[in-house]
Amino acid sequence: MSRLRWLAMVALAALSACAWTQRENRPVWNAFEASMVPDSDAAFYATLPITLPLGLGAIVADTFVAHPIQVIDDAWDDAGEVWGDIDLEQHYYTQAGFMPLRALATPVVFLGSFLGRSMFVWPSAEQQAEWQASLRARQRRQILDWLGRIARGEDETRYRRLAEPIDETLIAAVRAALADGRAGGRILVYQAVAASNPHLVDWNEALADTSAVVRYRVVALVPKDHEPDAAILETILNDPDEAVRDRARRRWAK
Amino acid sequence: MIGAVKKRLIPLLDQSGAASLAVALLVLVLSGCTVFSEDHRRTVDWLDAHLTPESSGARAALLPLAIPVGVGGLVTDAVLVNPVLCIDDAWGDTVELLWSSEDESNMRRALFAPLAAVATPFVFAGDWFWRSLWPIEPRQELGEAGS
Repeated sequence: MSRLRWLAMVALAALSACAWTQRENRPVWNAFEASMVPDSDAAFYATLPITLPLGLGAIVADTFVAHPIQVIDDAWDDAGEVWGDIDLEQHYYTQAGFMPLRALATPVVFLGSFLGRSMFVWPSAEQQAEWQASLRARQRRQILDWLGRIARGEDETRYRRLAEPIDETLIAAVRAALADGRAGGRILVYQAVAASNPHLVDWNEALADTSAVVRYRVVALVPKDHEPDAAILETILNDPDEAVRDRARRRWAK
Repeated sequence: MIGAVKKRLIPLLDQSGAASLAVALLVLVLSGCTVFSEDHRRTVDWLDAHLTPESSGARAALLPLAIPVGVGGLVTDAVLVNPVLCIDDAWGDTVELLWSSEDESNMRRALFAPLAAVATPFVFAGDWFWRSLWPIEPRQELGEAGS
């Protein structure tokens, strides 16, 4: 065997050691340790000449055979995710156009995931789901706290996007923030809604906000597909504030 | 080992003209970054909105036809529509960066003008290329989520 191949083997084994550091990733070693390593000190040291090479063999078997077999199904699941979320009803040609790319990406993702999971400590699908759920819960808590601070009229300047799910609790928090928040806070909420779920608020109400600064921002934030009511449009096109009036005319004046 | 791969691969590329194809594909894939953004798929969005079969059976049956049409739409967006549509934005960026120094005195502007003139094609080309490859929002929409 050439020196280069030996080097590659050693490097691979060294990288694989990352996965091997986790107890659940070394079934052969675990079985070997449980069944063949003596408990008493004397027997342990006496059998070392035999158990040592066998232990090394167990590590190699875990690294190159057992653990790779363990991760095949996870890699397959990762490759399967390439084909998730195909909506042929709404985005027929877009999804059809991406199909060849998905087909090309599938073996690449499978191989990359298989090698990565074989060599390194990757979280299992359950762990990933747990982390994601925890992250979503934290984001949601932060958003609700943020909306609560705005509703209490506290000085809030941080920009945020609304986190899924958009349920009744979140909608109520948005409404409370818009009803009770200060002008700066209301702008932040309108920005967050426009960037995340534009149809969550009544843009006609937003255009009739008591603050000219808010109205000025809202004119730019109203979604493209929302046509303001005629009366609201008439009012905003003749807004007492010059900047609001000019901006509204630039956007809606025929 | 790497040498052996090179020996086998390079003649293959030279013989079939695949090197040019590989470069073209690479550019295409890089350009494709824009079409991964929903706002930069005007052609396929139009196809989705106007030519999607209504029944699921027809959608499944026409998939062999829809795939090349969809790929064609994405390629059109990536290499034609998006690069054309971002020309004015690239020009706007260039003018803003090099020719709109409101705080400068007239004397300074006059001194800077030759440098700006030299830099203009490079800044414009770089900005245009960058905007063609990546899904950057048009200038008038910067900072305005809904407009």
